[in-house]
Amino acid sequence: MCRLLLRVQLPGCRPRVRGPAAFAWGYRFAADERDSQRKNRAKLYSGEHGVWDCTRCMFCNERCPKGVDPRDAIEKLGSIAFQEKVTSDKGARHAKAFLISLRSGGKLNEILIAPYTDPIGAPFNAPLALRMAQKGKLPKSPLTHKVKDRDQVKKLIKNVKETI
Amino acid sequence: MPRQFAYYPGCVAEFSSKELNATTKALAPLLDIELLPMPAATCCGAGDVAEAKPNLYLTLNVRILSEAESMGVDILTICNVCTLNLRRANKMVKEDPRVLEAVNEELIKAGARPYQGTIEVTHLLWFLATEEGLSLLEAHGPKGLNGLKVAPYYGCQLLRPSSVMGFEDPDRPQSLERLITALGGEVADYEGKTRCCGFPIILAREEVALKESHVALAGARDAGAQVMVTPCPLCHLAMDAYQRKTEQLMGEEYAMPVLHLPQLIGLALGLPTKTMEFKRHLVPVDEVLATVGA
Repeated sequence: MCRLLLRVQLPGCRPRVRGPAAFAWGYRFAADERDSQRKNRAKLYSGEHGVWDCTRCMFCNERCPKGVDPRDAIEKLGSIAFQEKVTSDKGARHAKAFLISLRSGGKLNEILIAPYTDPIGAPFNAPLALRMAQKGKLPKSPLTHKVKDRDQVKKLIKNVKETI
Repeated sequence: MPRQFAYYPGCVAEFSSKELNATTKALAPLLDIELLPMPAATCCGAGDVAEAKPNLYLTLNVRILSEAESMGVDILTICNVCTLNLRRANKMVKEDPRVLEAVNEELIKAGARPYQGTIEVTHLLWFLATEEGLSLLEAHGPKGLNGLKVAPYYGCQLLRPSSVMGFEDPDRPQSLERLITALGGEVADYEGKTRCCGFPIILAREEVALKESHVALAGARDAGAQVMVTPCPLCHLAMDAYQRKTEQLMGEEYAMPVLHLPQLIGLALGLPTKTMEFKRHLVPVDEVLATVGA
């Protein structure tokens, strides 16, 4: 078992937190059909220092000499959390905002994403939002941009089943 | 005859970072490339959809690949995240015919074109950092960067995982350095150039994300850089738009202008500054323009 990545030190002054290897092991149990704790494990790995803290830097996949690919396990734990409807974390809400954008038009709705991800914290980001708006960095319309043949996208969202 | 690409700028370059899209489009004729629009292409999901619904992520990205295949040309991107998502999906279906078959079944059911697996995905940086790309720049006779000291910032997802990206050594990349040197700039080397900017979690875990971007910003500043350049619009948002917040959190000053890669090339090739829309940056680039003489 990898002990190097079981706990990691993030930049700054945070204490060492759960690392990629811990998630790889967590996924091994959460994905086991004989395990009856799937939802509890989804909750366990969805809070602070959980799957939604992963920045997707891909260092763990790059470094692992055993081909464990911990980032892939983190991703699959995220999917299990969605299937078990454990989606209250801000990170999960961020992913939901992407799904809503895709369903409604196909492209990312940048007006929606910040308030949907963090409805309580978003007002505190108002000064940055204002500065970005002054520079033209926020879309003028809250409507989602629509791609051609978006009925195909809607059908895919409806039909494609997750299998983990 | 210009080299044709199916152009996939990604959502951020189309909306909040329009300056990147505008500059790339203006630069294309100078680089002898033609960017063909992809009107049916959706968002790649940015890793979020892959995390929530991996099968849906794969199918949506293969649908994008299939649109380019119907156009008969490879895809050119200007975003690290889009590049990784599209290349990863491409690798998954090319390596396993059963996966391709299952994805195509879903695409056909939804009325979309099935994918045959003939498309490659490349980033503008990769295209330009080859012999072919560098000769295109030389042929244009670059006006040059006048010794501007530039900190290359790669970010993560154009380098890692190398099994999917594979253009260069993820620990010792040289593509940005080659371009900076070829354009008449000076490289400011620093350790944080391959570190994460934190942007994927900046809305959900702001403090963690800002501490990540601090590593690169402080490294570039300490290396004496006048400007940072990045091939990714998400890294650009983290470094440029959030820079003041990072300064407030860390109690430090960076005053680091950040350019999109096509803007750096545009400056060297003498593209009009108005076209490159520097006014949309949150950290002013006036001193950079003065050094280059733009």
